[in-house]
Order: sequence, then structure tokens, then C-alpha cells
Amino acid sequence: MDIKVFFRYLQMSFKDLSVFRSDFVISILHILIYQGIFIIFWDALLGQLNTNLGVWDKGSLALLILVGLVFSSVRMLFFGFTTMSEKVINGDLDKYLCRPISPLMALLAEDTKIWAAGHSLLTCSILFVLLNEVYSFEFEASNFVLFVFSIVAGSLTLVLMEGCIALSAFWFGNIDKLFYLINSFSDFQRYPITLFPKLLQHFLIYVLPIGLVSSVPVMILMGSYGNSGVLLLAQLGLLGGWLLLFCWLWRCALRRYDSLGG
Amino acid sequence: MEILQANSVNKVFFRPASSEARTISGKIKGWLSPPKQQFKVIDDVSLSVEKGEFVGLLGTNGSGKTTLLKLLTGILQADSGQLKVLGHHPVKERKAYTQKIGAVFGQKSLLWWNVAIIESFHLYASIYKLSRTEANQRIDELSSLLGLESLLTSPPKKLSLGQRMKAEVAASLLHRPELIFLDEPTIALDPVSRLNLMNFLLQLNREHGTTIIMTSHNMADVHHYCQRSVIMNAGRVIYDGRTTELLSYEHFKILEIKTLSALDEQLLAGFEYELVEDNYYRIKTSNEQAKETLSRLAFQPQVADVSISPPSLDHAIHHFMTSVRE
Repeated sequence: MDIKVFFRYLQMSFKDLSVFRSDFVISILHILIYQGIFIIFWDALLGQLNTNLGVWDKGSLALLILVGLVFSSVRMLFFGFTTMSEKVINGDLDKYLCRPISPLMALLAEDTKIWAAGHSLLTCSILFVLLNEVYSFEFEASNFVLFVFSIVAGSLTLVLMEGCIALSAFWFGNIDKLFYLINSFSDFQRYPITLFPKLLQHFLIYVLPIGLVSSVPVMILMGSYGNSGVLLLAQLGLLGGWLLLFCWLWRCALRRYDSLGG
Repeated sequence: MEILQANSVNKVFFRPASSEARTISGKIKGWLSPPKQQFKVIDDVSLSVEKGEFVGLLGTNGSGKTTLLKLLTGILQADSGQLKVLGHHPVKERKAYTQKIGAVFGQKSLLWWNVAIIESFHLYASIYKLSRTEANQRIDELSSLLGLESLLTSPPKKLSLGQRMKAEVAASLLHRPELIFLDEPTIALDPVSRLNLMNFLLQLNREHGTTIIMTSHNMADVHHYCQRSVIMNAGRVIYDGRTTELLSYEHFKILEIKTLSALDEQLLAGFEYELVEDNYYRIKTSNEQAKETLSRLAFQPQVADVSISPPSLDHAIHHFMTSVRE
């Protein structure tokens, strides 16, 4: 699909969502309040205990909450995976399959929540500036590069995992509950990973890599993560593996498509 | 010129089968892995279509019409058989192929529900790579032909079903496709909208040589607009020929008589007839007996009006289906 069509889809998606303007404003407030509560919680907790949680001080915990917003933004861009099972069940892929477009790109572009993604990033930037005034973050440039890489690679890996789950709708129909199940693990992104037992830490980095979009990048940025070389390779491996699996599943999925309804 | 060739095309679907399990373990197994039954939704279908034809695809519900259309548009992939349309394999060469076709599925909308229809038109214009000028010109042209001018800024949710269907058709024709597939395009349309839409399609077919393949349950549409009919039953093509020839398979006529008072029962003895309403009779008579029946009944003093007509396409299709089942 060429870039012009992709942007036209984004434009339509934006227009479609902004029909209900009050929802737009309310969702902005919702994100601000929701994330703010976690920052206040960690600040109050560490203030009461008058100590740090291992390598985690108030500033890095506030950063952890901000980093979660970055992943939310990426996820919103790929919101089409969440609606895929409904489209498969209702046979709604027909309109993409009989037009000269990439069905996958059209499906993702049609359902992308670009305004939500943009807003999450904007909220994150505003909060970063404000929190920087309070905690005076300091980090090295090389760590910042690794931090960005880790978030981008981790987010894409998780999105591809979600994509694979979404594609299973071609075989199993309604997979919403499976989505909820996997999503329930995403709560881990709000907590410092090093608080958990080693086994769970490995699970959250290499199996269900929630840690790669939250704790790990923050630790890299703050200079408290030791094995960044190994991590880099692991992230590339995970990303490549999930990408291959996703591409293979997509090819098989189209053969399974029943185009139900009508 | 032949633009569509389908040879021995098959498509199998699975549907839930009833479980025979009596034991608890059998029932648990059946719940975890429900039994499925395979059925051929398209069974060895071969078909060829010439450029410029207007083909009506007919059949009862579940006969495989829509599935065949979906195979021809590349939405579904055939399990076996060969399919070539406009020189392309519909699935393997999807991008090049779909650039040349238009598809309207009456029960599935391609318009954005909350956004003005002109925005959807521009989206599809960019998908088909029309320039801005070309797109505007085409939108104006189709809007005028289909009477959509005043509706362009309305979202589909604010349109009636007929208006929406016209918008769906317009969106599918922006790129001047060589071949159009329509699945029940007149479904739930009022008679005026139906006629307008069908006349518009006929105009496309006659003036631009656009090939049209259309499924419909409306026999009047097929009778008046489609030169060729293809009847499907249980996934198979049971008739493929001229629509007028299909009618000649019926060897009877329908005699309709309106009277001022009831006809004598003895006069009607031996006829297959139906009392449509008071003093309005519909009598079925064989072609050989038509003349005799007419002279026997039409000149009774209480007869007010008489008409004799060939059977409708509904009758012809019913006859075909029944003979196939027998």
C-alpha cells in the first residue's frame, strides 16, 4: 500500500474518531489522571519509607510510568489487532481483499487510534518536562540510544505477539478472552521488574517481554542495567522470531478465511 | 472475448455436526473439540463469461451464489480447480486483478459509517490511484447519474438503505472497472430506487461494454436486465443459458380472469386454479390447451377482464429446481 493511501486511511480514521468530540477530550483527561495516580503513589510510598527500592528511586519510578505511556502509544497504532477477531467472525475482511491494497495494512490503518497514540506521547512529554524539574534526570547519550532502541524493539515484539494472537482468530474465531488474558500481564509494566523473583524476571523479559518496554529501558537509561549487549541480541532475536512467525501465520490465515456473513 | 474462465472449481466449508456422544467423556471430548461436518459449497463449477455480458446468478439461499462471487473476486481461495479472470489469477495476482474489477456486496458496507460519503469516495479514489481531478470528475459523474449530489456530505448512518446502496455502487465504480460483481444489489430497495439502480447498471453494460455478474433473488431484475442466467443448486450449476430460453422450459401459460360475479364451479372443473381475491382467478393451463381454455372461460357474460401470460421466471426456476431434485 502506498504512503498516500496509508495517510488517507489515517485521516479517515481520525475523522471517524473525532465525530464524538467529547470522547476525545475525556480520554485526554483519563490518561492524565490514570498515569498521575501511579506517579503520586510511588512518590508517596518512597516518601513514607524514606528509602529506595534497590536501584529504583522516586525519579526512576516516575520514569517507569512515563515509559509505559510510550508502549501504550505504539499499541494504539496497532489497535487493528484488537478488532481483528470481530472482523474475521463477521467476514469484514472482504472489503480489503477485493481492492488493490494490502489487506493487513488497510485493516491496521483503518483501526489505528492515532489521536490516542499522539496524545499518550504528548502527555508523556509534558510529564517528562515537569518531572525533570522535580527529579533532575541525568543520563548518558549512549544509554539514551539504547533506551530508545529497547523501547522500540520491545514494543514491536509485543505488538507482533498480539498480532499472532489476533491471527489465531482465523482458526478459533473469538479470541477476545485470550487477549484479556495476555493483557492482564501488562500490569507488570508498572512495577520495577527487579522486585520479582529471578524466574519471573526472565519470563517477563524473554517469554512475555513486558519488561522490555518498561523496567529494562529505564534501568538502561539510568545506567543500572549491566548486560546491555546480551540484551540487545536477545531483543533482536525475539523481534526477528515473532516477525517471521507473524508473516507465516498471516499467509496461512488468508487461506483459512471463510468470509462469513451475507 | 472470453474474460472469465472457471474450470472444475471446488470449495469446501465445515459446519458443526450433531454429537452422537452418550458417555460423559464423549461429551467432554465433543465440547472441547466439537464435531464438524464437511460440505461442498461449490461443487465442480465450470463457467465462462464473455466480455460485455450481463449475467444473473440465481439460486435458493445457500446454493453457493455468493461464495462463487467471492471466489471470483479473490476474497476466497478455491480448494481445487482453475480460475482465471481478466487474464489474472484472482488470489495470486490480487493487486493487478482487483484494480480492474468492482465489487458490491449488498450486505457488507465499504463506506465509513460516521464520515461523509465523499470522504469514502476520495479514499477509494486514492486506492485506485486516481488523480484529484480525475476523482472529482468521476465523483461528479456518478453522483449525477445515481442522484447522490445532495447526499455527498452526509455520513452513511444518515442515509436510507437505498441511498446507501447507491453510494456503495458509486464507490465501487469510481475506477471504471471492466468487470463488476454485485451481490444482491437491490436487496431491500424500494421499487423506484431498484429501477434507477438497475437502469444505471444496464446503461454501463450497454454503453461502456462493462461486464456485469449479479446475484439476485429478484426475478424481475434478472428477467428484464440479464441476458444470461446461471442457476445454482447445492453448489452446482444446474442451468447456464439465455434467460429467455429458461422461460421456454415451462410448458404452461397463466390465464388471469376478473369477473363481476363468481364463476360457476363447473366451468372451472379440471383446471388448476387459484382464487387470488374475490372474483379474481389465476388459472394454469398447458400451452396446448391455452386456446381452448381461453375460449371456454373468457367469453362468459360475467367476465370483466382477461389476460394471458407466460409463466414468470420464479415459476421457471421453481420448475428447474424441482426437476433437479427429482
